[in-house]
Amino acid sequence: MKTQDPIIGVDLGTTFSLVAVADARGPRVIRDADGEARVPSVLSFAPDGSVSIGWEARRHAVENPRHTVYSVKRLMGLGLDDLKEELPHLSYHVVRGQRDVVKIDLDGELLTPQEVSALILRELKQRAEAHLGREVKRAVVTVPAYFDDPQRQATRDAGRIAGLEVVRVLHEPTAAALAYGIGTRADQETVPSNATRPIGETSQYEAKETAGANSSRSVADDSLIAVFDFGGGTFDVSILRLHRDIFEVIATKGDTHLGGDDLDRCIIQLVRQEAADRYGADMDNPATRQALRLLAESVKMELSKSPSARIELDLGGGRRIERALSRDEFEAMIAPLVDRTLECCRLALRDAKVASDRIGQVVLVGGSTRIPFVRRRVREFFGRVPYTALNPDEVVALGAAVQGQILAGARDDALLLDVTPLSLGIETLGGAMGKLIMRNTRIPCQATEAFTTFVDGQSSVKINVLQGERELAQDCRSLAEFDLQGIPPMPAGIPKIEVQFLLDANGILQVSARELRSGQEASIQVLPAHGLTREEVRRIEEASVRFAREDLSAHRLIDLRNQIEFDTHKTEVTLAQFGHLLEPQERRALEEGIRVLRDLSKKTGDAEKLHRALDAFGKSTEALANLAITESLRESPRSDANRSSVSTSGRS
Amino acid sequence: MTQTRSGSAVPAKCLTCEVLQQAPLACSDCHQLLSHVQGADYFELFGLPRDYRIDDDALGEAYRAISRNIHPDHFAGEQDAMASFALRASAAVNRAYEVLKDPFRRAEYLLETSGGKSAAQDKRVPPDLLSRVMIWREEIDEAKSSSDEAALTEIREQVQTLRRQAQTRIVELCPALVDGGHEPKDALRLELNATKYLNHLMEQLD
Repeated sequence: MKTQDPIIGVDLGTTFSLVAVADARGPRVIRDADGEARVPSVLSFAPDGSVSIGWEARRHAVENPRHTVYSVKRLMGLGLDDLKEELPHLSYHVVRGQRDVVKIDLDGELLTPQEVSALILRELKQRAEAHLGREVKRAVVTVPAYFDDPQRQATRDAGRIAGLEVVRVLHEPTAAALAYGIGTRADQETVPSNATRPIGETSQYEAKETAGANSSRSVADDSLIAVFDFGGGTFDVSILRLHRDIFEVIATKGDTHLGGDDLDRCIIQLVRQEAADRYGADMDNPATRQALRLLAESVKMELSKSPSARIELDLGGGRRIERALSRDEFEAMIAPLVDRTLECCRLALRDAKVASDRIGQVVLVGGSTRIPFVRRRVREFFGRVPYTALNPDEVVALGAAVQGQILAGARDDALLLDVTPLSLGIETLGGAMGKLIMRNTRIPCQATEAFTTFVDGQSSVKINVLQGERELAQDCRSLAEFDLQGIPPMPAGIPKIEVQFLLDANGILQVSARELRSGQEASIQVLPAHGLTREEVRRIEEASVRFAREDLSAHRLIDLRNQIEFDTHKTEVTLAQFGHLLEPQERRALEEGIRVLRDLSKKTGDAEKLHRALDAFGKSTEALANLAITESLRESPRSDANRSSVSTSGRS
Repeated sequence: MTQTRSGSAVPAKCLTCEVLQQAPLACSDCHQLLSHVQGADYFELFGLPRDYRIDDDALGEAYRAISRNIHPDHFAGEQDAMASFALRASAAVNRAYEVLKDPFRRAEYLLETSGGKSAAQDKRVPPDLLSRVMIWREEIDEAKSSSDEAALTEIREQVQTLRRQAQTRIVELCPALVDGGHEPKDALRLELNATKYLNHLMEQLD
């Protein structure tokens, strides 16, 4: 049964997010009144509990640095330990949650990256609903091809929290290829020239040995496409072969922490260094982090248009930094990063067993490909001028919308066959990585492995599932620990538990197990190493579904809830500090009030009721608040550290 | 890896509408999936003769034709059971394709489905190979640390020559698997084990 409701295409980007829809007229991005399709992936949480998203939030970045969350995509599905290099660049605060899940700390209110992404997705969903004039429940959401399982899961969970069923997690470069392919279908009718190759037992080796070595016998093949996707936070390259209407990915490679953000940091580093050298100024506080980020970004963009840009910075107290940055200097700074993207290209070609000059078309995707230096290096690497016919910011969302149409059953003239970017395996005895599914294997794919017990009567077996290319388990990413339970009591080594690892079309892992001797389906407890458990997602989702149902104003409810979280937490902190000054029954009444309000916040979707309850709670805490102020004033006042003011000039 | 060979003949009939099928996986007419994808012989799955020498293009065409019918994308709106079946069938077809596409894995598949030993069961390699591999490894490390491209190229050529020789013998041995007793099977195992070492070396050389 094919349903008719639309499946929107969402590009959930590091710096910008977009939503697109596709119908009989083709795919199109949805724009705001000003014609702008991009929504900055930035959220600003105001003290009154309200949340602004997009351009508005971006404007608050400097004045409200600790509560303006950006580049949250770079935190998705990762643990705090994975983010050591990232953290010094954030102006907001993150803490360690359970199981090493990163949480964003907004004055004690803790949000997972999934929940923050869900707010962006909700905004896009509403934009699509307004445009279509109907409810939207399903979406194709794109991710970097090089995202691993926890990062994909996190993205899908974000959708669920936003009230969207993510029917497909789609690779960004593949989405771009689909958008391009649909647009240029007429030109692609000819079949590649390798059809003349003789029945070849050695064809593969020949190709491999040709790759990169000599180019004299290679001829570019128009059906071979390289998608170079250099975005705000991530880099991917995918090599595809187009067979009429089938888009077959052959190999993909990438880096989920290599993007425009990193290019900006080169400029930030330069400015910081200069401030330190000249004035001994430490520019490492949240406000300057935000300001420098915006400044660096505008300087970078200026340098794509002019040979030089000005950096002007007022550090306060007559201290100023004024200098020009030439395009040459900038290119020298970013060269090592661009080299890394080209190294990825080389590795992808090697895995695809294709020589670089066989590539018939090179497609540029992502804002960072606007940089002339990047274009030049890509052109030199592949020896051809890259395609840029479609807007590199919009092409991914367009492709996602086309895939949405395919999944909705509205078109069957195109099919994507994609691969998994990373090898999947299990930890074997001695801590080695035993690979079961190799990288660049077509998805969906499966592998089966048999396990047994080591002790008589052992009733459970633990399996550590890994993703990565390194030899040792400790160097790979642990996806989850699977605990096979309910194994019937047997002597050691007798049970034979067959475990099937299945990567679905989203590149997301499903695991099932069976004990072969008893034929019993073994039950599996999954404890994700990072990310949310199913139960946690369900809880958050339920909370948000309740909101959606009585959706007079979804935002109002979210805001109220945030406010309640914030206020009750604040009151708890104050109580811990000054509660002893209250009468015991006053204190108990307040504690009960917190509990009741939180409970109500969880259970009701009635905004009016919540609003009244919050009001009443606010009044009940007045006495405590006054006490706290009086007490605080008695302590020695501590002035806020001087904040340097930073102006963001350098714009054209 | 052990694989049971399916006894079904090609072409098959759709279980629902009984239309005769070219690719025995999904009905081209009513798009119902046929149930015996898992466990089917890989060559049979793609309508190819059970032979080491295969037509790459025919394999690719057959793979894409099947994928067009059974890829989960075309079953997204279907009931869970059908979507789940499409997922598993698609995974099985992808696996079969990956194995047949790769000459090494294709030969291993032929060997093991003909009753030959797996790499885990028989780890022997040709005499002298291990010592040669060890010497090469040292030479590679040395050449790499001194960035001696000429030396690397030379080693690469030597490894390739050896691998081509193994390849030639694999081509010769495969047809003998059908009724040649244990001898060709063991000999093929030996060549495959050697190829594996040489492939690792080539990776090191990249």
